[in-house]
Amino acid sequence: MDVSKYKSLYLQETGEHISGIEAGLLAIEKTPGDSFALDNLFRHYHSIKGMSASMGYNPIMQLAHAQEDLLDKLRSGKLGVTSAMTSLLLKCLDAMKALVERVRADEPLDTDSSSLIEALKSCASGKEPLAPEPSAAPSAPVEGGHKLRLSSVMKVEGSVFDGLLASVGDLFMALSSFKALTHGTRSVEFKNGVHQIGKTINSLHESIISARMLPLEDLTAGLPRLVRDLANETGKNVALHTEGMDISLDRSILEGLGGPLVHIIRNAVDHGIEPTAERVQSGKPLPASIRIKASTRKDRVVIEISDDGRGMNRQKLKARAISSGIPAAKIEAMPDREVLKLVCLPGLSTAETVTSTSGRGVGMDVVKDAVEGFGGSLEIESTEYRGTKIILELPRTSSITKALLVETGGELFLVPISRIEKVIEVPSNELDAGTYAFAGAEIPLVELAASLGIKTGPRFSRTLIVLDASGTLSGTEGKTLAGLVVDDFGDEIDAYVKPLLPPMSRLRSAAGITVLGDGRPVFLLDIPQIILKALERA
Amino acid sequence: MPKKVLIADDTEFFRVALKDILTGGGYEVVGEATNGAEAVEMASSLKPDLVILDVVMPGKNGLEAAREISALKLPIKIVMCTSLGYEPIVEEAIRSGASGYIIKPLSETKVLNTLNSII
Amino acid sequence: MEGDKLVIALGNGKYALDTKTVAGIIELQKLPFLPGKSGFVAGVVSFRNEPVTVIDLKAALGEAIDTPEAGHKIIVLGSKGRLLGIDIGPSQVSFIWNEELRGRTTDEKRLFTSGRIYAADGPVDIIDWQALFNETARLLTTD
Repeated sequence: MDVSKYKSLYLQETGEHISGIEAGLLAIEKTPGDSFALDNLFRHYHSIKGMSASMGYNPIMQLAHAQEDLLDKLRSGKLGVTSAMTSLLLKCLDAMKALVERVRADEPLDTDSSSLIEALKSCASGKEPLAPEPSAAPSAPVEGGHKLRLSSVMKVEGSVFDGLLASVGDLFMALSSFKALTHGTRSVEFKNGVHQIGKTINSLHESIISARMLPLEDLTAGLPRLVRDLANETGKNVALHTEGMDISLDRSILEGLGGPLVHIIRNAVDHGIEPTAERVQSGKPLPASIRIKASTRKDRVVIEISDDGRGMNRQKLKARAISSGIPAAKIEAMPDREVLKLVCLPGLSTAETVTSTSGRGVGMDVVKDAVEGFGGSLEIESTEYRGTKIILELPRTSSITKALLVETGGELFLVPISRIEKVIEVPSNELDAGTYAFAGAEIPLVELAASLGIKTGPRFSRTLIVLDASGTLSGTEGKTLAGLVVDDFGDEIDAYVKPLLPPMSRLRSAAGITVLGDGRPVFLLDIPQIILKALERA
Repeated sequence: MPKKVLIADDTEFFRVALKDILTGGGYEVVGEATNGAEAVEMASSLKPDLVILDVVMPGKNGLEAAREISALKLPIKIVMCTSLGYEPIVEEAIRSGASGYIIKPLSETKVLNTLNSII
Repeated sequence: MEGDKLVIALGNGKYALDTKTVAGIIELQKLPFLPGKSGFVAGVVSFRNEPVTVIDLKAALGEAIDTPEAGHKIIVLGSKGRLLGIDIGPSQVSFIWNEELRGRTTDEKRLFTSGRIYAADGPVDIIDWQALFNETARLLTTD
């Protein structure tokens, strides 16, 4: 059999079976006699064995075969499921995953699985499994089990969609030049034509976007296993609850979310959740809980990861920040939410001991950078003895953002439409007070030019953009508003927003950049950051 | 006229591989079922000359499907397909109405020889 | 040090860039604003639909900034996906070809330069644009 042409199919289906095995093993761990789960598990191993044999991947075939034999005994009731068995099977799964990765990477399958196979055989013959020598365990992959992976339901290379999306971005840019021309023409045919093209590009864009969307579920399916392993490692008793995992996100964002999510959960298990004895003593419920809750806010998704552990220790955080060189006066003047964010400074963590899971030198700084890297924001809430909540707000789709062109001091910027509540023309003198009466409340005003250091001349009237500032002001459950003052506003455009690349990748006030039809580069403002910065100064 | 074959295997990998082998060997693959129940249904509606049934499939397995297909009393030959280590099943398969068997891993000559000897 | 050089007469000095790193030259009247700019960072332009951070070369190299300059001439440098625009104002450019370089280069380094060419009409410092790029990234790290 000419195997090369079947390799991608092999990898795809093996991947699906491996996910099935992962879910199945966790199911039988909970309900050992679950015959449906046992039947399915048997079939997954059986299929992997058959495919691997056909492809000539003998080490995978042998390992799958030994597991299949054990499952055959379990599903026929000749043996009962024990927790040692599921642990062994999970270990074998990691080894199998590692081998499949080697197939993917065209590396030789020369790892030795014999100790695992021996352990499986002794298990199938009715003996309690001898724990396989850890050193002999094939590449007992350091992080093999702890990676979140997407199922490959998309049978088209992701890069194809990236290319399509980039082309649509170019179309949008070309369209914006035509739209600019329609202002100067009376030709109804031309205006109609441009309008039609616009509609077509929009629907093309929507189809591509929806083809790229995947549910959060695809990413989080691996989390129960992660939590189980972390809990076992640390001897803690933890349960994971999820909600809203049917919300779908662009594949690229979902992929980028994997690392940060694993890290946050590791932190929660390692540092947040107390050892079982401590929880018992303080009368806290067992198992401890980690909750992931997703919800939508306009075109964005909010993902909250909360634990009911001991919460963050602000004094320790402050002390660490001071010892890392931040002036004490500056720290003392910080609002509470900023103090909590000190945990995102490189190398800062309040954990007393370095554990195998979280103490790896990468910390919340990496999480924050990653989340901000795809246009998201991170907030922390924490109450001592009650727990910590990390709130990630992310765009659901990447690249094309509806945005309003605004002008101040002769410079153009973009404000995402998703943040805009209202745009009002206001005589300049009504804005002098620094706040503005809107919808029965005094909202704080931010002068964009001053915030960015742009010179402006006096004007009779200004444009006030009332913004949804949720997630940027402390103590916000409901809607918080703020006003952004600019000189004027222009068209609403579909901007193909590119991420900021070095050397400007760490700009605080901008979330991205786009190039207009006339070649002018325009920054998409990072509204939460601009409001925060202005309020910090005030 | 090429002989019409129905393939039943829950694994796309094997369906694709079998189809390649069969098409190359002058057979026409008229349908692909992914489980036993689908196989029975497609056998009765498509009336192929031959059905290749994988033994391990979700829901209704290959043996059960073989029994039901032979009960249809149609001129359909049945070939079982199974993995190494399941030879004892073959005997049961023959009792269930199968005319032959293929042992995985698949090889082109093995598959075509088996089929040619049956049809 | 090998390879054809683009030479910029800037203030009292002369500076060289490898021609193979030059992706293009843009001329424009007004440089769009870059929020958070500081030091010698001047603004942003687009080059073939890609945004490019622009620095003021005179300010970076410590050459006296004489008159407020009319117009900007921006040399876009690129390699391995990194892009940087350097604004040379109204300065003139010329070339030194590889064969003219032989035996005339030294590795004397100054701020943001990586070597020196003793050309027939005086010394030319070779710009180390990767160092400029790194310093630009540092200047734009606001936190």
